[in-house]
Amino acid sequence: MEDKEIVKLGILETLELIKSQTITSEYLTRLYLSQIEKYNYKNALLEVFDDAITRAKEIDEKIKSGQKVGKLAGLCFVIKDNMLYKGKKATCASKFLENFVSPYTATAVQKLLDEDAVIIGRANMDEFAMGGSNENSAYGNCKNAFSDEHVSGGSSGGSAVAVACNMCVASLGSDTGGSVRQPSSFNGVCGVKPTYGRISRFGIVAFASSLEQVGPITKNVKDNAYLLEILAGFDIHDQTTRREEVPNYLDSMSNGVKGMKLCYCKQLIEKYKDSKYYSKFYDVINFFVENGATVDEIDIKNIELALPTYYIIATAEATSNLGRFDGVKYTTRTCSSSDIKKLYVESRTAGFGDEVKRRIMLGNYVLSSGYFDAYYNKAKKVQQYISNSLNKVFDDYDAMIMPVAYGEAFKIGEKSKDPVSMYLEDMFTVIANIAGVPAMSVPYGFGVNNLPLGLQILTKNLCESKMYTIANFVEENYKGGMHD
Amino acid sequence: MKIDFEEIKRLEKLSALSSSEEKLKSLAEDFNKIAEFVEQVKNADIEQTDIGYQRVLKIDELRADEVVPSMPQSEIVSNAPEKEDGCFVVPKVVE
Amino acid sequence: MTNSNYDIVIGLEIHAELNTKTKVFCGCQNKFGQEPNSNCCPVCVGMPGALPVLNKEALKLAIKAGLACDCKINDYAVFERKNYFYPDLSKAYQISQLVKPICIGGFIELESGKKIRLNRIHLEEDAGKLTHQLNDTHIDYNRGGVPLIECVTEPDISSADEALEFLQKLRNRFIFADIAHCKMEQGGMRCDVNLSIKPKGSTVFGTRTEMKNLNSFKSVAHAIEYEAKRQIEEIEKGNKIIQETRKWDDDSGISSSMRSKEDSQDYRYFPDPDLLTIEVEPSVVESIRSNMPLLQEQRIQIYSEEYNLPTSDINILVNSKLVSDYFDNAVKLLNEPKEIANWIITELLKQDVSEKMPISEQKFTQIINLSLTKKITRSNAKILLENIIQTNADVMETAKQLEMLGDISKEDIESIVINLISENEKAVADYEKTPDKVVQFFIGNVMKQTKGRANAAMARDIIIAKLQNK
Repeated sequence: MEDKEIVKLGILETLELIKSQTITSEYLTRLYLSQIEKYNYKNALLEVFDDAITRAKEIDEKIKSGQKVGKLAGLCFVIKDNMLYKGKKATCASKFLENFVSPYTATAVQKLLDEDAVIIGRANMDEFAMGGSNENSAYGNCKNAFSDEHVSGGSSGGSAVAVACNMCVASLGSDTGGSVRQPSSFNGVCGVKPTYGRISRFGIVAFASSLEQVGPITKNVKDNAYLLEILAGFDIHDQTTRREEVPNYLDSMSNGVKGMKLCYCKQLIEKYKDSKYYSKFYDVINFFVENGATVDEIDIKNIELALPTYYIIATAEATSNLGRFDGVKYTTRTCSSSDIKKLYVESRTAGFGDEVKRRIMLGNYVLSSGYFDAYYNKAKKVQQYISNSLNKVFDDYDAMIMPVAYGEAFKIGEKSKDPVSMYLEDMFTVIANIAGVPAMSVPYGFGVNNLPLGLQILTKNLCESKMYTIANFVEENYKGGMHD
Repeated sequence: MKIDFEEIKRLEKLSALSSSEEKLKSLAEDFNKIAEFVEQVKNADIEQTDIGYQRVLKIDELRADEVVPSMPQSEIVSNAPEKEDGCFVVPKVVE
Repeated sequence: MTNSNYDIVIGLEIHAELNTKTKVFCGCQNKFGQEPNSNCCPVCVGMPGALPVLNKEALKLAIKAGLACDCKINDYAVFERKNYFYPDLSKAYQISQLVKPICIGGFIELESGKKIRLNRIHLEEDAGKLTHQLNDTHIDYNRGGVPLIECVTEPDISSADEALEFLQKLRNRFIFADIAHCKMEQGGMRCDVNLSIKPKGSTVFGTRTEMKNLNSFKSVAHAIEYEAKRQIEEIEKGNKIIQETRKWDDDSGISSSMRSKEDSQDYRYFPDPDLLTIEVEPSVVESIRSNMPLLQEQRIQIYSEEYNLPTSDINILVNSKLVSDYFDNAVKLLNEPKEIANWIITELLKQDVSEKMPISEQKFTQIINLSLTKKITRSNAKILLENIIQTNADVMETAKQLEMLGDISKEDIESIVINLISENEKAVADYEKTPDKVVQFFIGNVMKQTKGRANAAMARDIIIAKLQNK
């Protein structure tokens, strides 16, 4: 097989090459390093770890000497820059954490290492995961894998582009309001936000604790199922992780959608009706029906409130989570004064970027005395309402389908001047975070600008297998798309 | 403008942030748009909802009271901009 | 105390560190006095990515504290973040409880019969420690994350004496129920005082001040007296009381303003999303209740009504939980409460019992039992006890080694007496003149030779018979 074909392979196929000793991990790692070099201008990675080759050699030794190796032996992964890996920098794409070296390793990262993975580098992102275009990175934006004029999406833009440009076999992102699914959609890869509590958040720098999950980004659906099984599970370090046994997602995927009850939400699709991509969504609905599923239009009252509700809850939690960055313990100190209060203010003002500052202030607005009931408490009520409604839907339906975003990736600079227009981009993705249910983006063709589009599939809590079944069916059988 | 400079300044103080006067203006504009955007939630007609699908933990699911080793002192303070004798150091705090 | 024209209105906020092995949200040790930041992990210092994980025992102890004070235990416990910037707070928030504290209501009754109501008891984490140097401040987070309960009273207290009695009773409950050690000198128990005054009999509260930094019961009493006097003087001068936080200085015996209400912070409490809501099942509460150790008041009642111990003894026994527990355990092993109480008070309390008792209950009751069953004499029992305290050796072995055990037969005594008579001609000659003195002399010698094991009455009979036969 040619080198340029090898880097395009997914986890399962590459693993075969390594295990059969057709190629070594070192060889594979070098192939990815040259891909990284080639696509360096995309600015997907903030750092390539200099010990990647050493680690690959160690794993090669293990394989050669016939030792038992892990489920990801010798494969190369990229992690988002908000994930701690002991001894490596983790900056959250912020100037504030420019020099922060992780004193411990995140559980999700450790799980990759335990399976003998090679972690090749850390991926660009929006600062502290706040943004949907990767334009909020203190280290420059990340370009779309398919176009240099378009955004990668965000916040896990670097993680998605790294997979799409074959700089690694798969990557980890984190998804608080769509941060895995939207860049996955924009770059034609598979991205999952699992059920809340499925993957440990320990060692992931927190943005909005009650909403976020680590999510695998892969080249195909089966890889994603395989990777999630490795990442998922109870962790003593994260009280919000779920104790339910992790299924073998690959084995529990079934064939086809025949007999499945699917639905889409009327209120959401109405927002989409004027879009030039509506016909495409309609086409995929027909595809499901033709293949034996039923697809119903359903009503979910107040669903449009999910977006502002999300922004209230996420910013409230973020305000509190980001209080620890104060120029005292980890972050860069900027201080010309001998007054502790001024030290805080000067360090934080110099350290955080504009979007992070806006969100910290919004969080304080909705939490502060006199506003708390009207905003934060009310938002929690709306969240409970939407969550209840959605969970009831899943009592009757196997899955809900919707777009990931309004369309293809937008142009760099197109929305960065207007924060609210950027927030509106998250309309379809925040729903799964608000309700805690699993959701994924699976590529389903290209849009008018020849950029990828993702279809979003949401299922009931802990029913990732069903989500994978549907996504896999789309991946293997759906040939639609206005582009081709 | 609904949220005036005074209010913005109050929020900055709570946030331990500060902006120059010229920046304050654009910040206030952005902030007002954002505040308007979240305003819909305040006005939403949602009756009291039941606890429904909220997850709760039982006491027996909590962590047992068993000691695990601490992190070495040197690693605890490894990222501190200023440290001395194993302590984080800040300018003198007067109570 | 001060001026009879005014009522003093006092509410207390008491913090106590819980007796857990680990901190409240991580597995680091809950231990006092170690190298700075050596007892820390990513959670203690609020490192990026670190998450709190609640200690089951800490929550159970907080419930126990509620049960010890007749509180209602809430069905659900929610932890909230109290947000503010201060260097001793590693995350810029403290995990505490506001809306759904684990315990609500409750009361403690004073000797006068007056009930001091509690508003709540909640669980929270302690902050780190600041050490002020000449030019800067050092932060040590070892104490950060130590589990604390905060106990808040209603403003039902009206004098320093009542405050002291309340604190003493509360402290005893926490100590006797194994909830907290309450060592004030180590910061294990701290108290803030809210105080206002109003014209006698008025139903309208005055403006209150809050006093912090009260590190002993004595300073609580002093601070109350000082503050009441200060407020009365202000009012009488025609001034208004300012709502403020004041810092008590023990050395100078005065308090000074720390900050006024205008500077008070907006803590922006909201539920901590990392911890989820905890369901407090009634079965768990019941099991805590049924395993509750006896409180001081309950022990006093048992010692008095069941054991008929004198009040003076009772007061000595219940003065320390350690001694009282020891007494209870000993009585379980040997149902002789009066005897055991006597032995503890006269023999054991001579020793230092601040940390531990000098001998195990088993050995202690074994010795008492030897004495009670006349296997050894009382005076030998005391010697034996002192010996075992020194050596911690086996009781029976030691008694044998010291030749305290085993009956002395009539024949043995006779042969000893015959020997003694032959060796003490002068004494025998004096028998006619001073018979009592001589008999006593011989008894003493018999006892000496038998290490006190001989039956003294039997020895007397034998001695008299032999002397008269002479």
